[in-house]
Amino acid sequence: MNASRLRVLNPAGSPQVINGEGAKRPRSLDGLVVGFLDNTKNNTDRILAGLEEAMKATYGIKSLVEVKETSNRPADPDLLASMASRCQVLVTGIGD
Amino acid sequence: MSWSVHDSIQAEKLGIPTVTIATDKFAQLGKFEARVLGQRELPIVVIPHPIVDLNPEAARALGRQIATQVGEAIQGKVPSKTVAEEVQFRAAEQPDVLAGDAGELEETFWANGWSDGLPVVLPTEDRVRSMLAYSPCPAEAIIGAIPPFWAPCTVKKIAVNAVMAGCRPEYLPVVLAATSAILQEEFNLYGVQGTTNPASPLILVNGPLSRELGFNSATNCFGQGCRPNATVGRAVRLIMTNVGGGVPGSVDKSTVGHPGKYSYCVAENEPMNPWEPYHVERGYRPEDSTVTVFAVAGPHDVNDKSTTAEGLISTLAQAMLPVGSNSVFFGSEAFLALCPQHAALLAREGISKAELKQRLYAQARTPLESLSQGNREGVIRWRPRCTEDQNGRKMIKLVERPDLINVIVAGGPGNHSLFAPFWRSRSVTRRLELEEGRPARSVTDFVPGKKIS
Repeated sequence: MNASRLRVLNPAGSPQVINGEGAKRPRSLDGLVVGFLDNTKNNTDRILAGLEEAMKATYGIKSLVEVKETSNRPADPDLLASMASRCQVLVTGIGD
Repeated sequence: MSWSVHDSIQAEKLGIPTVTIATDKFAQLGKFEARVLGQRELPIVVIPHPIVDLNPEAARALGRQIATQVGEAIQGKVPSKTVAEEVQFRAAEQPDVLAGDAGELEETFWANGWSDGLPVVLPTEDRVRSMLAYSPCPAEAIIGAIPPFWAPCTVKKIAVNAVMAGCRPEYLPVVLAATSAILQEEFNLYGVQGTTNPASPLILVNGPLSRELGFNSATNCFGQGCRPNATVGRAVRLIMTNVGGGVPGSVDKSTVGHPGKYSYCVAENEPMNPWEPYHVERGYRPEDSTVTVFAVAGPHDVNDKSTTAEGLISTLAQAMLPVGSNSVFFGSEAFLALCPQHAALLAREGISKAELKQRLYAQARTPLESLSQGNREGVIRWRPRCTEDQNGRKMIKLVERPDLINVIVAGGPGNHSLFAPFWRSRSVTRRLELEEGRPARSVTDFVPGKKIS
């Protein structure tokens, strides 16, 4: 073996990709309760309010709006569980 | 971005279909995170960045405009977008051991982005073996999973990165403890890795090992020139980048960053500390050695020539809550490094560390009205309990409680203290321990019978 050849170790990690499946999607939105989870980023409340208004007009949805404590942390699991028990669809954001 | 995707995935697991809204500058990161977290098909509706400066009516109009897109995404009518393939998956394609001459290997490391932008020491098998001799646990032991790759990180992987950073083998226990600390949930590394904020782990080393290993706690301790400070901080950053995937641009979204993201590591100047050392305040014994991590923005000098404690405290209180800093928006904790002269001035007047914190807590206030409208809105939404009425004015507090102010003593002669604005995170301390959980009293405890040179 050539003396100048070195053996070095790979310093990187690999993404630990999980293969999961999402929730079943509804065929129609008519009459469904849509939850809006506001992450507190500036203007998120207004964008979600506009979206809620237009979705009510377009799809006849009912709505439920909650605000998480901060965009920099996960939503409180109790809040998510509570929303899951009261709505059939959830809109989150805004990733920014 | 990261936590909205996380929230959506948690809801999907509860059986609730979701749509995540993201701006175009962050959607790719969101798709990547969704893929890693097992939801390749997670619908993300993309809007133009930025949203922060939209006027109220424009923001509502934007919401109305995306109603159809969101509605169709809920019903699964939107073809799933391709996942963020450009975010590096290269690591998976590389073997565990690479062979070649030094020049070739260096080029491979550059090509793979296995660097912080500075040349690295090649992690040869011999060097990594020497480093692992100082590990308190087996090479294949897993310290934790580093987000957003959530890659299980072995002691060996940490040793490889520590070699690259230029660490001596005996620094490994400090690097391991710091890595373990940033992986604690309250530190919020997932957020740190992807945020636009310049927050980065600041590593504080306390106790006898900090002196034995030669960490700089005195003149220029936050600056360049000391191998342990420079390389331990650098090792943690390389681990976050190489093992965790926090690559600038694709995952690390820090708008401007700061130089401490190369390395941000300091020891406390315990001999010049007139009070108890920081780690003792956190419940450890003086003979214990610890590592504490703080997620903070860049350091901010506090140049103060006061002749009285009152004057100094007034300066510190004003300096630590400047408009435009993280201190205004988060208030999770505060970090202050007092130079020995400033600490001595306070001690001479009989002020304890607890009293200093109490007075900083009481005096570090900024009128809410001094913030512009958008900032006021952000502060009120993020820190609903941050204000207190004072003489008819709403005042923003630095932190919610005095004990959330971390005070260390560091630096050499001169009248410059330093504070670092905190992000949404909590500090975490880890003791340097041997395999059985016994506290290490000397670095030689890790390698019985061996003397360090």
